[in-house]
Parts: sequence; C-alpha cells; structure tokens
Amino acid sequence: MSDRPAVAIVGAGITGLTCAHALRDVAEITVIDRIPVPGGVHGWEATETRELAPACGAHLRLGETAIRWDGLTLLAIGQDGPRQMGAAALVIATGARPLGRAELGIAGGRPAGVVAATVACHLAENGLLVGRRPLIVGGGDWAMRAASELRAVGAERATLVCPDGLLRERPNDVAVHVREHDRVVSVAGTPRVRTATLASGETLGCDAVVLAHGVAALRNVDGAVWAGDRAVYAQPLADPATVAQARAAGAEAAAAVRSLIDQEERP
Amino acid sequence: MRDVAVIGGGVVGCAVAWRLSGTAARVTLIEAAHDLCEGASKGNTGIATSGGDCHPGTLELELVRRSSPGWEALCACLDTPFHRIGTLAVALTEEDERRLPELLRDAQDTGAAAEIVTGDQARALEPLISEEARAALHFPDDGIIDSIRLTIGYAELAARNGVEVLRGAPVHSIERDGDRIVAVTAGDRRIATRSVVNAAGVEADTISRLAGGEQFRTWPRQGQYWLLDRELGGRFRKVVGGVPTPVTRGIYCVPTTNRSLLLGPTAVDHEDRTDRAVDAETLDHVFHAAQRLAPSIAREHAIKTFASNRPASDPTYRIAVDAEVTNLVHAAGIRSTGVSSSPAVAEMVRGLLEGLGLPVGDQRPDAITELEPLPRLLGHPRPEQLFARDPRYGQVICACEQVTAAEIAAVHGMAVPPTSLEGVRKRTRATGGRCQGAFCLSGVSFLHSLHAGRRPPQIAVSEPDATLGIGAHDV
Amino acid sequence: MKVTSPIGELPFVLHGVSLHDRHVVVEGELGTWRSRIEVGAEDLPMLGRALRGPLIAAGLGLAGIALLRRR
Repeated sequence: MSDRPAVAIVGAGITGLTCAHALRDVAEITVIDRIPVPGGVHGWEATETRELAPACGAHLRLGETAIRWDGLTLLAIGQDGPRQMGAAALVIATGARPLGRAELGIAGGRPAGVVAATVACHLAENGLLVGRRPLIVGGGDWAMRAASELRAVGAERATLVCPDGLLRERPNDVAVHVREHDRVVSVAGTPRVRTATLASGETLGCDAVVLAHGVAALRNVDGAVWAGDRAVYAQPLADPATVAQARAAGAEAAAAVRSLIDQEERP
Repeated sequence: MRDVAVIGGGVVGCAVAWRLSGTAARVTLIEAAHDLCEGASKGNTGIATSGGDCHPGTLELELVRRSSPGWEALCACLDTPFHRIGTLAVALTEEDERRLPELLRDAQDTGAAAEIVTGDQARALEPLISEEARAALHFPDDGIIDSIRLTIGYAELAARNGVEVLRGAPVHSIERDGDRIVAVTAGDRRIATRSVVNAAGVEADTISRLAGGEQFRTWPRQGQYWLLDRELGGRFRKVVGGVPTPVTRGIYCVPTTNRSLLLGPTAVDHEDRTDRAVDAETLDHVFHAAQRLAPSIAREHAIKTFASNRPASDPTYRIAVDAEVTNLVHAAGIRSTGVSSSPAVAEMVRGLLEGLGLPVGDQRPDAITELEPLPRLLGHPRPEQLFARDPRYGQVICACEQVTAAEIAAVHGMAVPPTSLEGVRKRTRATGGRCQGAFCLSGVSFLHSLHAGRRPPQIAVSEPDATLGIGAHDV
Repeated sequence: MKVTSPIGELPFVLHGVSLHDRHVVVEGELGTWRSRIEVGAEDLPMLGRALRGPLIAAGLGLAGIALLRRR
C-alpha cells in the first residue's frame, strides 16, 4: 500500500487532468467527473484530452457525481452506488457557466423561453430549437456557439446583445444581428417570453432569450461551494476558457495542493 | 353529481380537498392553471407562524393558533419538510426597541410563545444577526415549511383517497337554480355539484361574482423575493425579521427546509393580477433590508429573484357561507397566513359544509391518512440504502440540488404528477439550484418527456403552450 | 460510434450483440456508463421511419441489421 497522501480532483477537463498530472509524483490522485468521458468543455476528442487522460497518472472515475465534502472524505455517487474516499485535499475543477437571470439583473416576469446558452445548445444538438427568433445575451464563445447552433436547427434570425461588445469576430451570417455595448434589462410575455427591453430603451421582439454572458464558477459539492476545508479551486473564469488557461489553472492548483500536503506532513 | 366542488388549487383549496377526502363526500378540486400551487402558495417565505404577530381577536389568529401545534404530525403524514426553528424579530433602532414591550404584550395576548431577548442573546441564538441588533422578540414556536410540498402533499393524499383533481380548468360559468348553485363549468367540463368552496385566491371575487354571490374585491398584494444559495442558508438557525409595523410584517431572512435562503417579501397592492415582474429598485430595497439584519448576505449568493401575489381583500379571512348563495362556502381573503392556517381553515370549511347537510362527517374506514415518504438524496445520511432500494439513486440528474433519476421517476408516478418542467421542479427541486438548470434542464426535460409520454417539442416549461422548444424540422 | 444525448455527444463502445428469440440485445458503454439496448421485432417498422431520437439510433441501426439478417 502506498503511503502517499490521497487527493481528490472533481472535474476531468483539461484543468483537472493537468492538476492530476502535476501531482502524480507526490500523491495518489483520483479524478471524478459526472460526465462519463474526460475532457470537460474541450471534449473527449480533443488532442489535449487524448494525451492527458491516459498520462495523468490518476485513477479516473468518470460518470460519478461528487456531492459532499467534509474536509476529510468526499462522497460521490454513480452507477455502482455511493463511494466515500478519504483525501488530504480536494480540488474543484468543475468549470464555469454563464450568468443567470438574477445575476444579470434582468427584471420582469419569469416567462418560459429564457434559458442558459448551455441548455439552448444541448437542446439544439438533440434537434429541439428553443426559439425561431432568439435574443442571445452575450458576445463571447457561448453566445457565438448558441447563435450558430440555433441557426443550424432552424432559427430564422438571432440577435446578439453584447454588454461588453463582441469578444470575437463578427458572425458571418446575415441572419445574426449584433447590438454591442447594450444589455437586456427586462423581459416580458406570458406564458412565453415575447419581448426584451434593452438598457438603451429599445424593446425587441423575441421568442427566446439565451443567457450567454459573463462567467461564474460551477460548483456543486456541498461543503466546498465557496470555501471548503482543504479545498482548492481550479476554475479559469473565461468564455472561452482556453487550453492554455486550463493548463495554467491546473498547474496553479497543483502547487496549492503541494503546499497543503507539505503543511500536513510537517510536525 | 359531486358533493363538493373546490375551486382553487393553492394551499387552502388543497387543504380543504385533503380534509374532505377521507369522508364519504365526492369531491372535485378545480385549478385554472396547468398545475396546482401556481399562485401565492408557490411564492412565499415558507413560514408557519405560531401567530405571535397576528391581531388578537381575529379569525386569522384563531385558525393559526389551532394549526400551529400540529405541524410535526401533519407534515410527517404529507411527506413535507417542517422545522420548528423559531423567529427573531430584530430591533435595529432605538425606536424599534421601544416598541418591543408593546409587541410582546400583543404577542402574549395571542397565546403564542414569545419573549424579549437582548441583542447578545439574539446573536447567541443566531450568530448571523447584525452587531447593530439591540434586542429582539423571539417566537420559538414559529416554523419553516416547504409550502409547495405541503400544497402538493395535501392534493396527493386527497387524490389517493378519490378526490378528482382537474388542472388547466378555469371556471368560466356557474349555474344557479334559485339561491343554490347546481353546476360549475370549468375548462370543457360541466360539473354538477351540491356545493362549492371558493378557495380561488386572487380570483375569489371573480368566482363569487360568477356565482351571483356577495360582491367583494380581492386584489393582488405583490411581494418580491430573492433566493440565495444553500451554502449560506444552511448556516442560519432562525428565521430573522425586522420589527413588524402596523402595515406589514416586514422583510425576513428565511432559511428554507432545503437550506437555501429566502429574502422578502415586499407588500405592494396593485391591480394587475397576472403581473409577477420584479424590478431592480424593489429588489435592492429587499436586499438592503435583509443585509441590515444579517450582514453576511452578499449578492454573489443570489440564485434567483421572483415575485408573487398574495390575495388581499377587506376584510380578510372570509370563511363563511355566502349570504346570497346558500351552498357557496368562501375560503377567501386569506392573505399572508394561508399556509399557517390551512389545516384549521380546512376543518372550519368542513364544518360549514356539514352544516349544509353534506356527507363530510365521519372518516371512511378505507381512507388513507399518510403518504409514503419519497426519500431524497440531498442530505440523506445513508445514500447506500437509497441505492440498494433503487439504483437510479446513483444517477444524479440535477447536481446543484442533488436530484436523482429515481426521484424524478417517482414524482411522475404520483396521483397528481407533473405535466411541465416547472411541475418537476416543484416536486423535486431539479433545475431550481444555483445553476438554474444551465446543466441539467436538458437532462430533466429528457426524463420528463420519457415519463410523461411527450415528444420533445411538446415538453412544456409551464402552461401547455409554453413549450421548451420546437422540433427542428417542424419549423 | 458516437451518440448524442441530453448531456452532449458521447462515444459508444460496442461490447457485444446477442440474438434472442424475439429480440436483440446490444451491450456497450456510453463513455463509462454501462449501456444496454433491447430491440424487438416490433421495433423494426420504426427503423424505417426517420428517427428523431439520436440516442438510440446507432444501437437500433445495428440491431435492426442483425434482425434483418436473421430472417
């Protein structure tokens, strides 16, 4: 049996795999992800994933959801049931999400048709279009992907409303309109959204509002949501989070875990 | 021919249906919206008050006091979370502090347990209370309750006992014969009935008018709320509020039964019954008021904001047989304490119906009196027991609220199952967590479509015409 | 093989197809999730229509071919 400390990493994206790789000589690493493939947002087919996953030196437990941390043990549950593992440190590398309605300060009612970009894209990939005339809040990667995927499954036109301006090049699609440096302040319609009012005062008609702006850390391990006992957070907040950013975050987290472990071992 | 038609599927209507369901009466519960619990019963602070801040000598107080001691037992029967954690009404200013002895006397007149505690004692009871708190009124018998699970629990037990539940059935006409109602038409159904209970909330005046009953007015009293993260709510031990004024109870910080935190409500009377819009100014006001009580609250903890309309009227608590229509019983004008008084309101309505000669007396020997609890993974002390019972407890669908495929499947097998994603959320909390469905809405909708037998383009977010999307090739 | 699902596109690794009297069972893994698809003779007509459910398309396609070959 090894007497190396155990480390649990939640998130098998590039960040988590990089962190595992950097710690493989000082700890027994287990990487847990609720998706049954590695790679996170970069995907299981990405070159980096294909290289890192087998080489990271960790025990990969994919398709299990980590749910509770108490500073000593991590509880995860999957198709074989719940499993506890003791760990000297926990790394949260579970990625990011776009901001929600309340975080964006969008007033008005809560009609149907207001969804996160992640939802709009998942549904589009399964052949379901959230709206023929979606209004997309945001100007980064999530927003651009949502615009192109919704157009690909039949949206007549899409309007991007970008509080920070467009973060990438202009979409090459005449049916995608862009309003920069403006934001949605309220939505209206019942039971489905019908209009969105912008800060500039204009009201636009729409049948879906796709939230694709801003970045918040995604966290769902109870006991490690904002701060946790011996928990290290490795979540590059960018849209998109590039491979370089993910690697850097993973490396930084590994360094933090090393010093945690060192502190433990010092008498 | 039904014995009782209950109009309104909020907490009061469902409680009445529950109370009648064990008797010989044939009952139909009618709800206009696509699901039960879509009005004030869905959006409220979830406080089961012990009555200390109700006005002495009122029917409201009497019914709240009668309901208060029974919550633990009732909630155990209805698979509804309830915790009797108590409320602290905190005095932040000298003026507030001076009012406390008078409020204590009023509270003592109500019969509810109440005491004045010092600022330090208040902070010992609830460490998150502001250093500015000078003193507080403590109501130890107040509790927190899941008002949605309570409402749906009442209806579920009622349905299992044979109550017919009609959803998506707005009442648009009521037939009379002389001074009696003979039928109610709801949706496309004409329901012949011996009596009607008006529990229609904000629309109670409309129902009375359709029946040709007493003319009174109900109007929406809007409250706006914040919902904050479980990680913060879980640290609260008490319900924390300000010192109530004659006009309003004020804004509370309420830890919910699933450990999230609610801030609110405001109280603004308005005219538009369908208006549930939040606005930045009001939300700011709520947030600041809450922060004054508990400075640890921060915007980054916010998950969601919403508005809901309580049914206001003058007078409140109209629980009586109508003066014009002899078989119409009102259970209306129950503005702020619908949840807190629901068991006693239901019993009072039963008594009024009995007085009209309806068969709502003895309990049937075959009536079931409790629901089998649905175990949930969130916070469960022995998840391996859940998994052994059903391996779908190993499939976490909503990671933020830790809702599993087993729970989602189970609620679709209920007597009053969800017919929309909002219905799934109300019964399981899936998509209601901090990511607000960003990562699970598609998975939840997939399971809902399987269980409910709907093709993806038919999946409803709420009302049937508010679909999640349209089929890509149906454009 | 790849399959789209509510959580994205996943690799499907086939481990085996077994033929039974009235149905075919396809066993595999969706990523690391054990996956099992049962196709009965009554499912065959559905294969002829445009399949909107990509989740089972791959497995049904294979199983359908197996069933057709068997007749």
